[in-house]
Amino acid sequence: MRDPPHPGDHRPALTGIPPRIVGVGSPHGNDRLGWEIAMALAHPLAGLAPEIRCCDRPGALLLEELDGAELAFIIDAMTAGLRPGSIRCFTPAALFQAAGRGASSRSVPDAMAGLAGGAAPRLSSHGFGVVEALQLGRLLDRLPARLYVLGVETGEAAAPVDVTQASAEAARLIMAKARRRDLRGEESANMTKRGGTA
Amino acid sequence: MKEKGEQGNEEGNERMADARRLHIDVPVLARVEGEGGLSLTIRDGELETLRLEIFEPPRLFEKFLEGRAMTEVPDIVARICGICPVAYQMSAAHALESLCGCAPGPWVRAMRRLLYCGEWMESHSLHIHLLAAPDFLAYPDAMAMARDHPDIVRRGLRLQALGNEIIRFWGGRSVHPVGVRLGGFHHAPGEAEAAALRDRLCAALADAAALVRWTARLDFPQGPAETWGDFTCVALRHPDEYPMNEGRLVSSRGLEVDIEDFERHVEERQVPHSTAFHALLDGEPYLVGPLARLNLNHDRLPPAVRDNLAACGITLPSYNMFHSIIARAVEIHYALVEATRILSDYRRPPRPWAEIEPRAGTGVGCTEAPRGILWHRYRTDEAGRILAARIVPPTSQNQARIEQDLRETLTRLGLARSDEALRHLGECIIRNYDPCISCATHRIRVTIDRP
Repeated sequence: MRDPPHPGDHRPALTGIPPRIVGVGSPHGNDRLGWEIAMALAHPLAGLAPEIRCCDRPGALLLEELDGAELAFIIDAMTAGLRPGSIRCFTPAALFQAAGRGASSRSVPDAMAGLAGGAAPRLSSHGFGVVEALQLGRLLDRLPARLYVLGVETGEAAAPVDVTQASAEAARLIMAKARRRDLRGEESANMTKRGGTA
Repeated sequence: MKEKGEQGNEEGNERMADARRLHIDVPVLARVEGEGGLSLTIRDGELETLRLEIFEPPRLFEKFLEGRAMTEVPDIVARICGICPVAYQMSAAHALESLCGCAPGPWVRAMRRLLYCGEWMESHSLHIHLLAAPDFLAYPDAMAMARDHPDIVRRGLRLQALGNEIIRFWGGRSVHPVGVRLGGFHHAPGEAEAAALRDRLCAALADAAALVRWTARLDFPQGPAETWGDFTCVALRHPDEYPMNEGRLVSSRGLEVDIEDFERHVEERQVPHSTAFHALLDGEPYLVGPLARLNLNHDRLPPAVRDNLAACGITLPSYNMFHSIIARAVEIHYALVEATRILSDYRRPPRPWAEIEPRAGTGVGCTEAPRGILWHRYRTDEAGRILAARIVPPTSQNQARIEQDLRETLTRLGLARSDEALRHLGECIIRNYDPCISCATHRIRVTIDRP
């Protein structure tokens, strides 16, 4: 599913192409968190004039949602044993490392395992998730130059999540990344191919 | 077709089958929709036991439907599958409209066909590029294939995305779409949107034709045609179009009946190793899906699609199940051609649905899901509440045929192969059917014996 960009401030971003925010999820329970937070970002990020999209379990077609962006943020729900509503920001390379490592503990670095599918290999197209789509995108050279994945902790039992608070934290993280782009210009020609945390 | 077990020293890998008793277990099949396994035992060079094991829990959708208003059915059944929700909506809508004597008219009929084109394109493109093609090019998965064939994968994703776009055009969203209602659609897009979509589809026609030619050049297991099993194909057949929503049930054995007679010929049986039924046509396994449809309906393809296929040198009907990947590509090409044709005449109607009056009765619907015929029967009361529902998905119809194929093909291509080669070949054979195991496990018969 793709929702139309949220109406709002359409001032051009400082560096040309507006940042892309892609909420990933489904209509059910806390799996909606990626959508809800993405849509809630229109106002706090009005100065960046982001293009906001929401998509429903896109599988490999997540790459279509990223096409044309230079700076993009994917927001997706994760289950990693953190406080519900907690947000962690990862580079694709860090997610690939976590997926390859098959992390199983609940330590903070392994929050990535909730997105990366942990040790279990993805076997069917039903299991073609964000990490697999990004791995395919890297192979096809289709990822934005700067891409981050924001994981939002859902909690084990669909605990209620304060979307306002979570979206404020997401906005802070996104602003920090966008500001780095503005300040440093050519920083990190292709962050997506480099390892490390965000 | 290249096989993983045949890479390297083939002779060294092979053992004398008649000197061994071996059990090959594939606990979880890779690159299929849902979870199933394969278990086979070979004794003295003969296949002793073979089981396609489906162990996903039954999903009981037929029971969920009981007591619900008929108008809710299209939205509920769309949840059965994230890959082919349109098929469930179409079969349900046709069954309930037939029950109520509702004829939505030519506009709704054409637009349903357009919606189905989107689902065929999306489902077939996904299967070809992410699930099946690596088998033919000796890659473990689509990721590895993408490294060496990025343009092929990019083209596949473009075609898949276009299919999704058609579904979103009508369904509001591409996964579990919500735009379909009994009698038609909740909303009709504008003519400018339709023209823009048509332009994008037209621009992909060359991609789709090239995809057919590419699949036809893949390295298929060969053999004299007479050595391939002459299995029974079943599909819908329409007087003058490639079948999607309407037609009579036909088989390659000469069966030709109305869809209302489905239950007189098809019997579902429970087997101990599967939570999905096995279906038999007049007591025999049978094939549904793209290759069966193409075998029985290739004369209904429009000239552009037929000529492109003919240039590939593929002779139809084909009983080489590995040609299923070609059949899927042909249907993507067909769906694009058909979708552009339908959109070229698009006019937004004042109201995109026909009224439907609930009534008591029984109605059946049968449409061509990407994986084959999907048959529904509903019984309702006077208020239109569902009293009973029966859904027979294509994968459960193909289950007995898959086991038959595994027995025949593994034996023909050689039980003396290494364990790894047999395991891989077994998975490739299963993937030819693009089984959707999650769809197949709708129900399970529970027999309680109380002496």
